[in-house]
Amino acid sequence: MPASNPQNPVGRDLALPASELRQVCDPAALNFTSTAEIEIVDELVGQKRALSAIDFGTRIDHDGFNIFALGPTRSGRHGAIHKFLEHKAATEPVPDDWIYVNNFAAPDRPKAIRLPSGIGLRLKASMQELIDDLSAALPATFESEDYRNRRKAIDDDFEATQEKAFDELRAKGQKQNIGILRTPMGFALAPLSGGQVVKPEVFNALLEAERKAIESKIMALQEDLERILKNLPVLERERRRKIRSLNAEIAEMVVGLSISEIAARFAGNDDIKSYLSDVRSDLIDNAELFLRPHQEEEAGPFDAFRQNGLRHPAFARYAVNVLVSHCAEKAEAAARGAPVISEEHPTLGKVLGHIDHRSLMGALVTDFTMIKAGALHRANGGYLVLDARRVLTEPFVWEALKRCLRNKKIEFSSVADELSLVSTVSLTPDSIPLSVKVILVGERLLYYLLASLDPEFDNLFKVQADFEDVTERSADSVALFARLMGSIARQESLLPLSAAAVARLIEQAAREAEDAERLTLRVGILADIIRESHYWATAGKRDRIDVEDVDRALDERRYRSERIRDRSLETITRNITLVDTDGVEVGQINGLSVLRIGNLSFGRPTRITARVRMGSGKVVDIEREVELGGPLHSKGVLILSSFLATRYALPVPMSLWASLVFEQSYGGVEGDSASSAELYALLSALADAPINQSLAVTGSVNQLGQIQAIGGVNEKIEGFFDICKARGLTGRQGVVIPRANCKHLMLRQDIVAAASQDQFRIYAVSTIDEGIELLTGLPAGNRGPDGRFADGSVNARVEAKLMQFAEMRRSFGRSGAEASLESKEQV
Amino acid sequence: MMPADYSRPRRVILGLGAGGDMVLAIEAATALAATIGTELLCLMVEQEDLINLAGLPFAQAYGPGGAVSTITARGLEAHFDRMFKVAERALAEACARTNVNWQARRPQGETLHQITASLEQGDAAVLNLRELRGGGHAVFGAVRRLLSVATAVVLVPSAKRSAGAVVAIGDGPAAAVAIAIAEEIGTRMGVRVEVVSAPEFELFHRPIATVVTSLKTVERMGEDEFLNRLTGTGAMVVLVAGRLTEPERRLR
Repeated sequence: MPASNPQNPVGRDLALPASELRQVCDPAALNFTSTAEIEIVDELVGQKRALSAIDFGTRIDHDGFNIFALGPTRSGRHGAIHKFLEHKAATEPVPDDWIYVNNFAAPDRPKAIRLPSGIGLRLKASMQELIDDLSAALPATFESEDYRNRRKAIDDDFEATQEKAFDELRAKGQKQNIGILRTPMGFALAPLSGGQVVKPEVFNALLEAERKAIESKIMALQEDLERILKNLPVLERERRRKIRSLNAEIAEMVVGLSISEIAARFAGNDDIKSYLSDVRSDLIDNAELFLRPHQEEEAGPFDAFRQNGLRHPAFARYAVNVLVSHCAEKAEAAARGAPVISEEHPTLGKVLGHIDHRSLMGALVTDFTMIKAGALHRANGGYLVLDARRVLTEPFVWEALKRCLRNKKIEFSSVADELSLVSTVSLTPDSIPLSVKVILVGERLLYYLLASLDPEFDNLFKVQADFEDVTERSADSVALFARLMGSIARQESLLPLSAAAVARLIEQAAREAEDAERLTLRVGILADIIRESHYWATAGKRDRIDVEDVDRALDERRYRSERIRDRSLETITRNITLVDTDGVEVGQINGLSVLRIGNLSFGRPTRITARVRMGSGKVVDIEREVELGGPLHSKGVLILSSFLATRYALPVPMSLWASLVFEQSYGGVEGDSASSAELYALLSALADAPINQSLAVTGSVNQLGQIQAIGGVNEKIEGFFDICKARGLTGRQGVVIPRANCKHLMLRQDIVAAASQDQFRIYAVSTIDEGIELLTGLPAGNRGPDGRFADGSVNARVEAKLMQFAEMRRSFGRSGAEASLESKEQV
Repeated sequence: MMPADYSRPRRVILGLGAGGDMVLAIEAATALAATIGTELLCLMVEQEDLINLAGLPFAQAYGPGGAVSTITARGLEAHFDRMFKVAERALAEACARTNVNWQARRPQGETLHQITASLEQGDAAVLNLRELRGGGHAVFGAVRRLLSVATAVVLVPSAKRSAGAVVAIGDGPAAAVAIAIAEEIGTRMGVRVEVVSAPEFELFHRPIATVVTSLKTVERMGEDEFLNRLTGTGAMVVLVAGRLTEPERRLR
């Protein structure tokens, strides 16, 4: 029986004591009984480097020193960054307001005006007040006796001039019995008799000379009529000009006074002064806008529709669109400081702002009042936090963001513009100068992809805030973690945690870190476990979260997520996938792999087999041959080939043909963590030494035969343990791991319990020789002074087999050469 | 409440010329007929002068700016047909809305003459102010002719002023009738009625939609002055009978 028997001295030396399989956290060492007793922690634990980078990035005032916060998800980056920024921003000045106003000279190019904080809203209110005042004052002025008299004088003058001309013509015509008639088509001249138009039959009965005479008179009068009518538009234009001039004069009296009042309120601001000057001119030119709502003349069928939404749509031209104001009230603004804006859905419109349109009688129209601020506008003068992945996945946002940062100004752009999809009435508002610190939060992969693929990235995001995945597990960090657990519970109004519950969470933090000496910094995962534990504690009507609630939460999480794992392991326990957990076999070994599906990862044993024969020194990795093996796996196989070639039968050519297979593996195989198992199987096949099937092996090997650390050691052990447990623990079963992985062991408690009862063992090996002895129960064997391995050892048997293959190959080559020579002689 | 000596009109006679200004007059006539609950007779008069003109060899019309077009009998007939269809359609829609019975005819002749000829005692006449050309004397001369038969005459402006007060000029003769009619119109339109004296009307500066008064009041104020004031407001005017006595006229 091989050496995995605990009686075997090799096995006894290599087996790890149960206490080393899981580094437990002693609740007593935490020095509290409940987290209700301890202070909360108000900082991000273990992220000194990242926070220092953010602090630097927010203080340095040069172009391109924007921040990319990279690190694992659920590490509390967003919350920590926000907390940090809000704290810092509170001490910084409130940025200026930005408003858009009508550009009266070019309405499609609205003007942007920068105003001291709070002034934008005041100006908006003042302009509204102005319009309200003028709505009442202008119509009243235009209804005044003075205006009406002056207007009537113009109209009378016009009508008198017109009537005078007609009267003169009428009088002239009457002398000749010719009348002027108003017809649907215009004015006409006709011969009269007794004040009535001469009937055609009467006219036709006249002598030709009489008719000619009448026609001549009419012809002569027609010239006069034509002259009068031609002059009418001139008179009408003159009348309109006089009315406009009168309107402007009357409007100026009212408008000038009102504008002066507003100008006095904002004295000293040149931009407002200039704007009000434009408003004054436009109001005077368009005073009749204020009269129309009262007259409601011929509003047309869509009048009611037009009135919807805006009280007086025509007055929108005088509105103030306060794009950004950080100051609703002055006192509040003083407390708020610089803005810290986070955009959860960073579409192009939400980042850069957008220009709304509304449908008007089937057409899309817009104006400067429909310009909406984006996150960049709101964050201008402060900080903008964006999720890098979302920015990159939203069309055009990344390029637009870079453009704004590069040009230091915000220019409106829409997806439709970018794609030239629609052509409708649109605006080109003034761009707005940009001074913002952008903090992109994303995964490391994104950071490095951007750094390598986007040449602008380095210039625009010069500060890297790299968040740690794990922190060292020490007394201090454990104490800090305990406070962190307590803080989460308190901030979310959860039940307090007992010391034992906290200890279990710290152990879980180490497990999540896959390292007994480290703690994960993905506190979001721990927060979820605390929330679930709170649920179970509440369901159990307890007044605090205890260790059984944490265990229940962990068990339930595992149960919910491990359906695929259970089905996978079930194929082994039902002997569909062949994995032995007892007995011995030559050239066959249990390897261990980790399967990752989404968030789930679990260990699973796989049978690895090796077959050998005489050949040309080639080890065939069947996985690679069929392109199921990844490059790292292939590298592992090449390394073990090299180990064989350089350790055994050095004086002769390598005359081995060997094949290695992951049996019943139908997916890809990647990583070199099975390379030691493959080598053991190969040595077993060469030495004809049976391997103990009660054991499973993980670990990579180098050319020198040293066993190296691998990842996922806990899951791998647990995967094999679950198979063995399902089949019944024999006391001979266990897992061989690299000694370098001992510090990563944070095994489940049931495995630790089984180990403490000698039902299951974990062996730590440093070399191939240690491993092969453990697996075969045979000594590995060292080379003696004569250069030969000790007789009966695995190494001696391997070397003998390789020498035998070499001899066979030599003799086969000789006989082949002789046969060839004989053939030639016969020819 | 109507004064006891006032009898509601029996019919509403709407007189239209062949010009295009008919919609406002139709609306006003329909509203009046609906208010007093009577039928509406529309006369679209085909002016005889125009028909005669169209038969002359040199019939030409000069439009604004001096544009010349030839007037033919066929063209004029087509124009009358078109106008009559437009009027019928507008009448049908307005009367359907207000549940008023209506008829339309297209007599030939002179507009005022045809309306006067069709009026029966107790009817109300509605017509465009533009149909009564000339100064105050000519306009109110025509109104006087109409009121010799009609109970009331409504003159409709060419431009609508739908928003504004209903003003009754109520210090003169027949004031009670004018005020009662004004209140009836005000109730229907949902606006407050302002009862003012003639001097107050001169100074009234708020928008006016309708003026209700008596012919006698107009004669007292001066026909030209009243017409000027009326055209300045753009309001519709409802005139009821009641004239100055001969001594009063002489006194004035």
